[in-house]
Amino acid sequence: MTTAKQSRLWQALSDANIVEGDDPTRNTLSSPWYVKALLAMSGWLGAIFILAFILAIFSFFMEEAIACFIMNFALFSGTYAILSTPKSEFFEHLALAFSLAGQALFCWALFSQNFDHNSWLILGVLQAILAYVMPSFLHRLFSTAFAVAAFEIVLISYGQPYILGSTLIFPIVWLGLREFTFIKHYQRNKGVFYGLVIAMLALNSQQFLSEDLFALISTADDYLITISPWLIQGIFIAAALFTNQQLLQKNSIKLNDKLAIAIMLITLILAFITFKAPGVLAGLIIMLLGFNQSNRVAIGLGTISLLVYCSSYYYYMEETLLFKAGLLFILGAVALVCRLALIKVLPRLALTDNHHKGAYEK
Amino acid sequence: MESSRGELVNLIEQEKIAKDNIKQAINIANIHPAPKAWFDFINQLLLWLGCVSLGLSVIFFIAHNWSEIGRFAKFALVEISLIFAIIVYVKTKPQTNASNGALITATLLLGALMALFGQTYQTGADPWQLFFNWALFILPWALIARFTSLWIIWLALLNIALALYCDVNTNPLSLFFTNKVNPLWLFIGLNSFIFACWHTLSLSRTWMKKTWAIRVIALVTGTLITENALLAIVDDYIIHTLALPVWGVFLGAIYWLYRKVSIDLFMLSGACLSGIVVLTALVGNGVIFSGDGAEYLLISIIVIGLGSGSAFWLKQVQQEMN
Repeated sequence: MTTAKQSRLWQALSDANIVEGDDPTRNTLSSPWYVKALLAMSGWLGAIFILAFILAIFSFFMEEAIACFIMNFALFSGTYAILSTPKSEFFEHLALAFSLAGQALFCWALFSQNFDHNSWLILGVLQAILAYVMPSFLHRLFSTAFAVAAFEIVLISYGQPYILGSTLIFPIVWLGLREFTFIKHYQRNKGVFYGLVIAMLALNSQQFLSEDLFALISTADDYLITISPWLIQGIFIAAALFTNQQLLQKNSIKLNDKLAIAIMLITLILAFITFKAPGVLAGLIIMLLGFNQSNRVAIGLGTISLLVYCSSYYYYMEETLLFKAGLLFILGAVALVCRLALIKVLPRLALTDNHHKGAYEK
Repeated sequence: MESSRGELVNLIEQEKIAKDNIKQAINIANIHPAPKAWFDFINQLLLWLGCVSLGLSVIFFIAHNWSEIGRFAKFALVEISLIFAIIVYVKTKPQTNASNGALITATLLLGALMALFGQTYQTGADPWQLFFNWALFILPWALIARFTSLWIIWLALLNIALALYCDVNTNPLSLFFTNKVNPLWLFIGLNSFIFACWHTLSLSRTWMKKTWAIRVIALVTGTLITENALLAIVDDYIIHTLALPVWGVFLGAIYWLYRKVSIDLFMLSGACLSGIVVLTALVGNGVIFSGDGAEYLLISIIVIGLGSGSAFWLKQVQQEMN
């Protein structure tokens, strides 16, 4: 961020009596993302060698599960202590590497006792606790994503590989649109939000990975109930409509508004076209959410996810290339028709509604 | 109006704004887009979604090799789609989203047409020839359109063609060298040449000044040169290869271009990372591992020192910029 922009915002807030005093960030410089990435990578590189040193010294810990649990508790405590003090990105990533070592030891001890869905459930709970407790955005992000991955494996082992990918959209949209509502927990919610987004996009972008895991992990004996694929797809469509309802609400547009009806109709059409390719809608939802919050990172994540999904969709074996070609053709045609309709119809729609009069004219 | 989201988040994280004033602060910072911005965003989103989906649908269709329709029908489908995309490009105003979208669609369709040709007539050509010819045919479009994204696609096609060529020819430099030479040198040569050309030409051409493009090219080139240097260290060919001197020259060139001639923190950060990785590999290769772990501690101290030093230097450069 530029200091000039920061100063302008501070001045505007000061004029509105929201803040007072001098701009606290005037003499501070925030590093751009690529400098932070450099520090992160070198922090991880250094941490790997420190961990190798620790493991070389305390290699006997690996032989006893109880000793592993004690060691990883020590590592988690050390991580919390480092992350709780004011830090540079370099030491933050060093602490993250320590935490990862603790989690690896925990997994080693846990899975050496019992490799089944209960162990994955315990791991998921641990990750959820770490996401709540650890005072670091990145740690919360990774812990949330790992927790979702662990719970997905539990669901796969119970014969339900797809349910999490669609149901996660509800908390993501709810949390994303209320980003500035729970200010006291802003840091925590930010990490959890991005962790959920990355996990959801990964789940929907890699359908065939879920199927491989499904074949590997699940046995029919473990199934609780068998949920019909149509129900899963129904949840996905409901999630898309929920997203729109929330966005319309946040932008003060009533659901019985002509504009709202048109948007819901287009969403329903796109959702029906893409219900066999959920990665498309998942990426679009994140992009829309990101745009509403002026969040370029979320928009970027949605865009990358769409591109990755398009590449991996080619190799999805459940449907023939002909079906996939047809789906993409219909999607492309509908998108371009909707665009034409948007340009031609929307200004007319807006002119009949005083709320949006003149808002959409170029 | 431009949003000040990053700045607002910074103030919120420092607890400078009271909870009761958050809504007002959000409005002042222009977090939520205006209706016109929504209109433009959805307009662009639907356009690009439509263009890419249509282009990919044709590629998927050709790949399916549906025997129910004849070869002439398949050619007609692709060629008519291609002509339509070109007509859209010609009819729309240049350098607009619609014209750029049409051009990208046309590029995808051209690739599909060439794949269909190879599939139908079983020419026996190697896969690398498809990508090379694809890049060749879109070169005039890239020259005329001056569309940066198309140039990056063109560069990607060249690299893919080269990778596939090296798959087929295990000693691609046999024409120049009698012994086997790492094919990585071909990639380094190609991408370094492209980087040098782009940097030179961008000095006098506004449309080439997009920072993301030169950074992508520099990132690819730097990654290849760093990888080559690491391979030379790991394979213990430090003395017998030019990898490390070339790496040194590349870092020197980056320093001169982006510290002395102009300042670009991204390039300098990349150079620092490359330096840290290669120097760590050199030290790691030099120490003897006795098994008691002390060598790991030594290397980690060196890495921490290099990382901290890089951060300090980059901070100074950033302060100079501001």
